[in-house]
Amino acid sequence: MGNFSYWETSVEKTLYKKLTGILLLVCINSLMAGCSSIIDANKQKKPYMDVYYSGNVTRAAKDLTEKSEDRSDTGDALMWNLEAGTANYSASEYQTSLRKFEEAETLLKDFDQRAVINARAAGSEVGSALTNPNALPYQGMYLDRVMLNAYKALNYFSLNELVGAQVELRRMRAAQKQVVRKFADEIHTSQKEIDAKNRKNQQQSRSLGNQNTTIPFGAIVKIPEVNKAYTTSANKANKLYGSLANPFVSYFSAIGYLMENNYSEALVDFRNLYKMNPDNRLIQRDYVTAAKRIGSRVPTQLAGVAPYQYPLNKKIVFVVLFNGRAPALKQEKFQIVLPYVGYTGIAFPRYEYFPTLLPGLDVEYRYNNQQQSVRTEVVSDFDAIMSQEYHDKLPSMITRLVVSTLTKELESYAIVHAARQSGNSGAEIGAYALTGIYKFMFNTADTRGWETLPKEVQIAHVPLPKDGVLKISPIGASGGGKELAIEKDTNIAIVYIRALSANKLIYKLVELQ
Amino acid sequence: MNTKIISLIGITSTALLLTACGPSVKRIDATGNEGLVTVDEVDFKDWQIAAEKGINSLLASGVLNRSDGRKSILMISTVKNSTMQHINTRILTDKIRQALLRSGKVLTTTAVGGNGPDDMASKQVRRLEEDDMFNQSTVQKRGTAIAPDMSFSGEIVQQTSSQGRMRESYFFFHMALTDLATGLAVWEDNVEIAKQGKKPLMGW
Repeated sequence: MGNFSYWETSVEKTLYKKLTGILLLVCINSLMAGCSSIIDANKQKKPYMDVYYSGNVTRAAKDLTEKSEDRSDTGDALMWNLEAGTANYSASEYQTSLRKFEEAETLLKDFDQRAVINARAAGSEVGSALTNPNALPYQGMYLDRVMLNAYKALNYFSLNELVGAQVELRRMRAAQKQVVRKFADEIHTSQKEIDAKNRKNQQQSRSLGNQNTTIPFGAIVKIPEVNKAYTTSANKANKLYGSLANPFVSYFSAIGYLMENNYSEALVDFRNLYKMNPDNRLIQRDYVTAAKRIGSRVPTQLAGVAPYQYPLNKKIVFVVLFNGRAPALKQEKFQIVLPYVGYTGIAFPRYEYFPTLLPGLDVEYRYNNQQQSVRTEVVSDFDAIMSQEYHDKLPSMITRLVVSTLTKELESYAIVHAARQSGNSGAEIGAYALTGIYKFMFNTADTRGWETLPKEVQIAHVPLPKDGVLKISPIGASGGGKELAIEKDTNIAIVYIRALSANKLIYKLVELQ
Repeated sequence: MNTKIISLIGITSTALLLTACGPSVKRIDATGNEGLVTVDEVDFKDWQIAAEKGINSLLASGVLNRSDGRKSILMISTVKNSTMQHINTRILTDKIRQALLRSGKVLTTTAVGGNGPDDMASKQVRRLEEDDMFNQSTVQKRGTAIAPDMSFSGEIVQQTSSQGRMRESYFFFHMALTDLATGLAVWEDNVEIAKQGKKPLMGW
């Protein structure tokens, strides 16, 4: 190949240029090994997640912070910052956690404020067209955008900086509103891109035999692996949540309003929560309590629901359980028959779901001279929210993957075709080998996501006991549990519990005067 | 030949552009209009506008004039941040406090404030009564500090919206002066600042 006289005709010269280009691409990307274009993000993160979910949060926080700093100038920076932010929060490294989340937020802001047609996005798109969707910068799932501010608020609460926490709660509410609009825009852009690629493929096809190259999602979804991903996500998704809303965000927002004694805004949140979770007893009673406090109408369906006998805005303890592990995207492959090239394997991301760690928590306390107990209830199911987004995006995501693969395959086919026509068997073997290596290396699914999020959020609240003592234990646990002593001058307390495994629970107590 | 000239122009232009890419820092007039304007943040000019309008309105209202010849003593209570930004509302309160002091109509106290005293010294020096290192006749006595007659408070609210490529922020500065004897608001005013920004169609 090094002998230029070997490539004499113009066909051979063109072929030589194309093969050199592929070789260069393979070399450059090999040098960048470790990025998600070659090794999928889920595999890269596995050792970190193993440490985090084993309960060694200090080590996980340190390692993830270092990793996020290593990857700060790459398209994966947002993902690593989010993981590092959560791990540092769990490890009570609040300032580092805030710094990591600030970096993540700055990246998101930058993505949002970029020009509609910008050179950076165009460059990434070219990279993505040549390799895979991992070449595009990770811009976060919709849940990421709201949970980022929720975690920042939790950090500020832990630092006892109430004003900062309220700022983050306001940003969280704004992000919740924004995601709906962004989602519609993204689906629209994605469809436009699919249409453009279909046109390009059909154009390429004309010189090769003019087979039909358009493959609709209706055909792709019949492939067993894709079908399973599509139906599983449909079953997991909770249509009631609607518009990708996260009920935890609404509940956290309500707590924020109650801290400001703003029952009317808290009532708006409880009303929305009731629409999302109509059978949840906690939400029903919260709704009725807030409505009765300000003389607002209670829906007839809730006429028989008794309000809480204590105010929701003072001398109250909210117990918030972040339970288990959110679903993680995992690489899977499906086979599809493509025009000209026949059976082709395509890597795509599919959610892997994790078991529920704890059925809930029992909270025991003394009130009105009596021993009382309350149980946490599921307010937000992250499996459902993430599945909803995945399910809605799957048709365009998978069609885009197929169409992009076909574009690459047609390019490869054209190179091999040219090599064959040159009559040079060495060139043909070289073309086969290089295009094969190239396709193998970059057939990587985009499995980037935020894996340190919980599977679900459960909540309960109790009036602040006179002795300030709460005993919290997993439902059904024999003995054990955790006793917490809350300062008596506390007005509102938040007990945050992170269940990383069935027996590894992290407790944090926020006492606000 | 033409190709060579075009190439030369291209290379020279690129070189010039790259030379201009270095950091460029300069001092600007804080009272002028050169400052950066952002959509989401309260920029320094916004603080100046809010403070100036608030001060003018307060001085023009006449509520600071007293018939007994004494000057009112004003304390700065809290200005609540109800925006989506981490801001220090002290920029507003300090500007107002200083302007009112300069007006000669009021005296302001630093011994008491909405977020605690601005200056802890008034309280600290009275603890010297227990310290035999100090000449006790020079130690400030209890019962000599003057309590405020009025309190300045406020709230800054932000509302954002967007449509297509346009984004908009509306900042609402609410300010009030309370007569501490009666608890009545003797003056209230608002300053509204609205800002818009358009996402460019093409760019880096």
